[in-house]
Amino acid sequence: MELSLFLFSFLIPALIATAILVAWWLVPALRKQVWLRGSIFGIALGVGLLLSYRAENGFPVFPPHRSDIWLGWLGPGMILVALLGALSERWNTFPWLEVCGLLLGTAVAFMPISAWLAGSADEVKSLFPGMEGADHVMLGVVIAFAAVLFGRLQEVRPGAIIPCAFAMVFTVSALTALASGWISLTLFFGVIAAISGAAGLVNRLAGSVPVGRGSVFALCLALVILPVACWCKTTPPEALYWWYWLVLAGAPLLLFPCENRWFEKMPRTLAFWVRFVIVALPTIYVLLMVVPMLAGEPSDGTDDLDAMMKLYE
Amino acid sequence: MISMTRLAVLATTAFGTLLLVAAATKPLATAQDAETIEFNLDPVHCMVNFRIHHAGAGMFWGRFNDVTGTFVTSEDGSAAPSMNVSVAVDSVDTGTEKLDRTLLGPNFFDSKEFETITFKSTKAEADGEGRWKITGSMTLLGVTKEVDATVEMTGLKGNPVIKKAGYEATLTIKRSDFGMEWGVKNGALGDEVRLIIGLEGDWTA
Repeated sequence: MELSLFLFSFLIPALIATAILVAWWLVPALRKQVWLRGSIFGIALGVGLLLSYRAENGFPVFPPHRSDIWLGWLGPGMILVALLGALSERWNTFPWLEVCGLLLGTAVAFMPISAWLAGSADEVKSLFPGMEGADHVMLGVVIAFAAVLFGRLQEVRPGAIIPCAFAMVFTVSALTALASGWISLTLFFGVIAAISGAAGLVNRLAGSVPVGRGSVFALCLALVILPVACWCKTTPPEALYWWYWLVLAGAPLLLFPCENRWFEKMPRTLAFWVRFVIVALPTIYVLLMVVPMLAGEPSDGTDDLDAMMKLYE
Repeated sequence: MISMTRLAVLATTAFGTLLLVAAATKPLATAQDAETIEFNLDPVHCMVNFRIHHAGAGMFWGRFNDVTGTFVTSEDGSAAPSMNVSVAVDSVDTGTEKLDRTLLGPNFFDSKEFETITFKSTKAEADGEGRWKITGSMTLLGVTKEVDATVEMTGLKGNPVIKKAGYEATLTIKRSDFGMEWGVKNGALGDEVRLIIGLEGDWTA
């Protein structure tokens, strides 16, 4: 990888985003802002993603004339969603979180229509190639579902486990994107993995970077949209099955069965690591499947040249 | 006063001259509007090779194997050809599967969204015997730009029933003009891409 690519598309965006988190932690005036408390992690993620996209592609245009430009809008979208989600935190009784999650999913599902209304094409173009109307509905439902679930989880488990679990998932996702042949997406995943890891680390050490509803909404957007984009837009190796992405995106859901009385009785540090390992298991499985694809194509010893040599012998 | 005989001679001469002029101009008209025939590209013997500067060091070569379309020229191949060529993006071949996958991805040819690269000639001018400068519209990544190619006839064989004709076209494009900008700014890959295209077409009466 080129050094400048590594610097401008990965390291600098990740450092700037981490600096935002650290600044929030160090400046008491910022920490007093309730709306920032619930959104700062999501804002950092959005800024990191936008800077990484900008380094290689410039600012995204609207309406997008190519579907990968939607990923350029994901960063600003995550910042907006983080802020709106944090502002909605005061309504925490049923069904307000559910309504917010549903609105989020609906907004994503209707993005192609917004581009069409803005005049990008004569007809509505799907968000990513090959997606039908039903796929957009499904995408919206999955995002709404994830936003509600993780929105509730962060209320009862506001510590480091959510950012740490997502950091792990995003790291393996970066390698899966690389195996699929999409370098930019690898860097995007890398940036948000680094920011999530930094948030988890600061939270673990200082207990000071909250997740919040807004940040969880931003995380869910990245968790669902980036794998869908990768699957729709790349030509992965035959051995890279679609359900690897499902395993990766679904791994953080394993935090839910951990919300029980046995975990409540465990020492906090032990409970954290047990939760971490439970989420790690499926991601490590995908990692083990993907790493050989990065090293080279697996050979079954029956390539054409071998067959010719055998005939010759 | 002109005698009737002289008048007859004059009339005959004038008519003869007219006939000669007509006879002389007829072959010219045939060359101009020669009866054209359409050749279908033979995908097995057509390819698009591309060459790009890698990491500021070596020249990297790759090719597209699936080339279809038609070209039209005169029966003797003397007329400037008009071409309509389509290249299947997913036929990209660099000899390395991992690299092919990266080229098919959104950073380069974005094959899931843009399945073909097309070229349609719009005008041609002679540039020596059997050579032409052909201008046409090239569409890559959904962006259409006018490009200039040097086209040379490499051969025409056959009989009145079956013919084969071949051309070699070379052109240089800037991939950033078509929105393929990955690696241009950081110098990982060059912006200019040289295309060397081998075309062979078949015609059957």
